[in-house]
Amino acid sequence: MPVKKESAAMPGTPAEPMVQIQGIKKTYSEDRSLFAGSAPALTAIDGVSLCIEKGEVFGLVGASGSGKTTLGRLLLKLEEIDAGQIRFQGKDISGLKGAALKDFRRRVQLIPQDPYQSLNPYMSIFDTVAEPLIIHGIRSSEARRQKAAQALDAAGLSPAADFFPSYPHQLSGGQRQRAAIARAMVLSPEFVIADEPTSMLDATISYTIFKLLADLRKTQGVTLLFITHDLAAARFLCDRIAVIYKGQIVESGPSEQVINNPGSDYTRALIKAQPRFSFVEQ
Amino acid sequence: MALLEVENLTIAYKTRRETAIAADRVNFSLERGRSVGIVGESGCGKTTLGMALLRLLPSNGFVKGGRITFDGMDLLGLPDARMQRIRWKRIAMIFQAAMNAWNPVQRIGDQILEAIRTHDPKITKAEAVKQVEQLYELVEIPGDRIFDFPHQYSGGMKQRAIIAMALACSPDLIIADEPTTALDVIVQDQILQKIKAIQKEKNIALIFISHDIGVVAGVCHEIMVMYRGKIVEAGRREEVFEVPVHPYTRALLSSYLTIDGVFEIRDRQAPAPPCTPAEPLSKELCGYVHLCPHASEACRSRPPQWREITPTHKVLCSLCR
Repeated sequence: MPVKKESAAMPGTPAEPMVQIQGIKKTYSEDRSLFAGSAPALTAIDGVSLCIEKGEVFGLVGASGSGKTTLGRLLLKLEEIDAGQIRFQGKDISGLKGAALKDFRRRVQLIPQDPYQSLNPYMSIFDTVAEPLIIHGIRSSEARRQKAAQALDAAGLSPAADFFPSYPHQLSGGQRQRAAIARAMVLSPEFVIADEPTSMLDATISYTIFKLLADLRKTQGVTLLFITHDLAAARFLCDRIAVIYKGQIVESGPSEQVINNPGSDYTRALIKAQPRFSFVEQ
Repeated sequence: MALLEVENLTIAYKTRRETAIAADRVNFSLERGRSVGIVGESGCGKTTLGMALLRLLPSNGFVKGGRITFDGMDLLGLPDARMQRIRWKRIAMIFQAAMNAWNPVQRIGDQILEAIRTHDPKITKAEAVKQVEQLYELVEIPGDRIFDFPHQYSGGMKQRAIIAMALACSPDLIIADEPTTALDVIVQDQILQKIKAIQKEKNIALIFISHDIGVVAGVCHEIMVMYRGKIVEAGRREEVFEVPVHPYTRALLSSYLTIDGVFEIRDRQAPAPPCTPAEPLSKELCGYVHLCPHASEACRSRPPQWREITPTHKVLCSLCR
C-alpha cells in the first residue's frame, strides 16, 4: 500500500490519518540471559509501513509469531522502535514524555487478548473501569461513577450498577471481555487496539463481541486496529486488512479485495486453512 | 453392537449448595471408524461427558445414572485396575491445551516411550523406539526430533506429538477435547487433516469435542449439539448443518463467521442472542426457553420430547413436529 505523503493539513482536519507508520523495525537482540546460548537476534518487525485512517476499522491479520502483537505494542509505545517512524495524528510519538505522553496514553487504548488474565482479580468491576479516570485526573467521584456506568452500559453490561460490585471471577468470559472493553473506552479514546479480543471465547460469544466493537465504532467514532489470525472475523469487522507474515506486510487493501482476490501465496494459504462447511469427503 | 454405547448417562457435580447436573440423560452410540462431534458453548457439559467416558471426573463429579458400554464391557462397573488397562490402551484422550501438558524437563520421546512401556511391559526399548519413529512419521515430525525437549518444538509440533502419543497404544477410540483451540488457523488445518486421515486409515472411532462448529463440520460424520447439559439435536452433519431444527442450533450456526460471511441457514429466522444465563438448570423444561424466540406456553410448562426428523436426525424441541 502506498504510504501517504506527509500532508500539510493541520491536526484535526479529516484528511489527516490517525496513525502513519513508516518503515519501522523492531529487533529483539541476542539472548542476554545467564544461559545465553546461540539464540540469534530476531527481527520481529521488518520494515512495516501502514496508514490507518480516522474512523476506520483496520485489520492486521497473521499467524502466531508473525509480529502482529509486537506491532500493536509498538503503536502503544509499550516498546520502542529501532528504526522508522510512527506518527499519531500527525505527531511523531518517539519523543513523547511527561504530560504529552500521558495525553497520548489517554487517546490510545488497548483491549487485551485474554480477559481471564487482563483483569485484576482483586479489583471490583467498578474499580477496574474507574481506575483510568483516577489516573487521568477525574477527581469527582460522582463524575467517575457516571462515566464508568456509561462505559459499562455501552459495552453491554447493563444495568451498570449491578456489575459495579462484581469481581472478575463472578463474570463469564464474554462479560469479562466486555468489562475490559469498558475499561478501554471509559476515557473516550480516539484510537483503540484490540489484540485478538475473542481468541479465548466461544464462537457464539465472539460474535456478540464483534458486534459490540462494530457498534462502538459507529456510536463513538473510534478508530480501531483489530489484530487477529481469523480472516473471517477480519472480513466481518474491517474496512481494510493488512496481512503480516514474518514481520513484513505481504498484502494490504480493502477487506473484500484481499479475501476475494488475494495477491500473495501466504494470504491464499490463510484463506484455504479457514474452516468451512464443505461436506465433500477428501 | 456398536463399539461405544452411552445410555441415559447423567453426570453431576456436588457443590456446597447443591448437586448440579452437568450432563443430563445423554444417549448415543459410535461405531468403529466413525466420528461424532459434540458442539456447544463453554460450560455446556461437553468436556465433562468426555471425562466421564474415561472415568476421569474430578473428585466431586460422579455418574448419577445410566450406562457406558464399550466393546461389550460395562465401563462404569469395571474394577479400577481393569479400567486402567483400558485407558490409553483402548480409549485415548487428547486433552484440551494438551500441548502444555508435556513435562518440560523430560525429552518428548521419553515421555511417549513411557506411555508405551507402561501399557506393554514386555516390549523392548528398541521396539518401542521403533514404534515412536513410526508414529512420528504418521504425524509428520522428522524422526531426528524425537528426543528434543518440549521447548524446542513449536506449538503445532507439540500438538502433533500429543496426537502421536494418543495413538501410541493403537486405541480403538480417541476422545479429542478441543485439540486445536490454542493454535492458529494454518496449523489448525494441518492438525485436523492429520486427525481425519489417521482416523480413517486406522479405523478408529473418534469423539471430537469443540465449541467451533466449523472445525467439527470438517472432521465428523455425526454431530451432537449440546446445551446446558442436554443433547438438543443430533444427526449426520449434512442434516444438522443443512437443516438445523433446534432454535439453539440455529442461533449457534448464525453466529458463526465464515470466510464467505455469516453462515447461511436456509429459511433463516432472526437468531436469539446466545449467552449463558445465570439461572439454575431446570431439570425438566427446555433449557433454552428463556432465550428462544419461538418459545410457546407449552415450552414453559412441559418438558420437550425427542422428535425424529429423519431416522438419523433427531431434535429435543416441543416446537417441531
